[in-house]
Amino acid sequence: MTPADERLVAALQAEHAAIYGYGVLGPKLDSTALTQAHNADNAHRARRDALIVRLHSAGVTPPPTAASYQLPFAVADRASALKLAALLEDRTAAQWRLALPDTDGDVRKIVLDALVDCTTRAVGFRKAGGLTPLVPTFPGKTT
Amino acid sequence: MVFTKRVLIRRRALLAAAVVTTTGSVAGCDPFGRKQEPQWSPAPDVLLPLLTRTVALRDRYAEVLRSFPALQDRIGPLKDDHSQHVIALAREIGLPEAGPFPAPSDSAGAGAAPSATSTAVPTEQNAALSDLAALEKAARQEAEAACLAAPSYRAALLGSIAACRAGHQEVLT
Repeated sequence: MTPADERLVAALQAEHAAIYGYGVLGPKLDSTALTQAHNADNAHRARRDALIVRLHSAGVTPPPTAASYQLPFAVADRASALKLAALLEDRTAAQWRLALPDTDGDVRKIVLDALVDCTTRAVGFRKAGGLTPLVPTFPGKTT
Repeated sequence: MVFTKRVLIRRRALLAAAVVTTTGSVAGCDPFGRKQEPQWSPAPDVLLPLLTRTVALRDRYAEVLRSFPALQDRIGPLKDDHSQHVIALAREIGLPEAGPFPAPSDSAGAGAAPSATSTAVPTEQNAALSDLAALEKAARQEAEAACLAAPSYRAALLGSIAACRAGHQEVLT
């Protein structure tokens, strides 16, 4: 597996986890926030599907989704649901960011678009949940 | 390890640039045989225009905040992000964090994006915010282009700067 494919596999795993998380937090939301979560979930599913196709065509077996994922905290209400949504986006952004150095050309564009989208959605969820700071100075950077 | 590689790449780029710009003074002599000191002027870093416009964007926020101090809570943190980006880009280029920064030459891409300081701050607050949102959009596109064109070791930094600017657009709209 190339370094780029290894990064894409990690991004796919983050996408799987995000989709699982939205399944848990969605029922705690309503109206605008629910629409936001629904759109986010759809975006992650589209990225997951595109990644699976890409990895298959590169001869890499994409990792399947796990039956469940350990969530960092319990989702009890709207506030914790929005907090988790923002966290899922931040974590996914971090995996995409890690793929930037190992990719180039069209693939780097796909990776960059994903990083930008995750960051934008995270900001949207923090806005909805009144969480600050709204925007990380270096989105996706974990160290 | 990574650092060493980065330094080597930068040094190699600077040497290559220096070789190009010193033609015409081969062997340190002019056509009349007088001895001449070689004119070392390395080509400017390709990120210099991005740095210069990041400074302009940061300063534009400062201007808007002078006109609308009540916006501090909302846009003060965005200005701080740009300040941090200025520091990170200056480090990346190898310039002192606090400046002064050389002006990019026209050939290095100056003027490709709207200048953040070319117009007065709108007198109405919402117009000032839309104005910032438009500047952030152009700035995001510039950072995205820089990320896509960048060597490996700069891709993550530039990607984060682009993503941050996208986040700012979300805050401002």
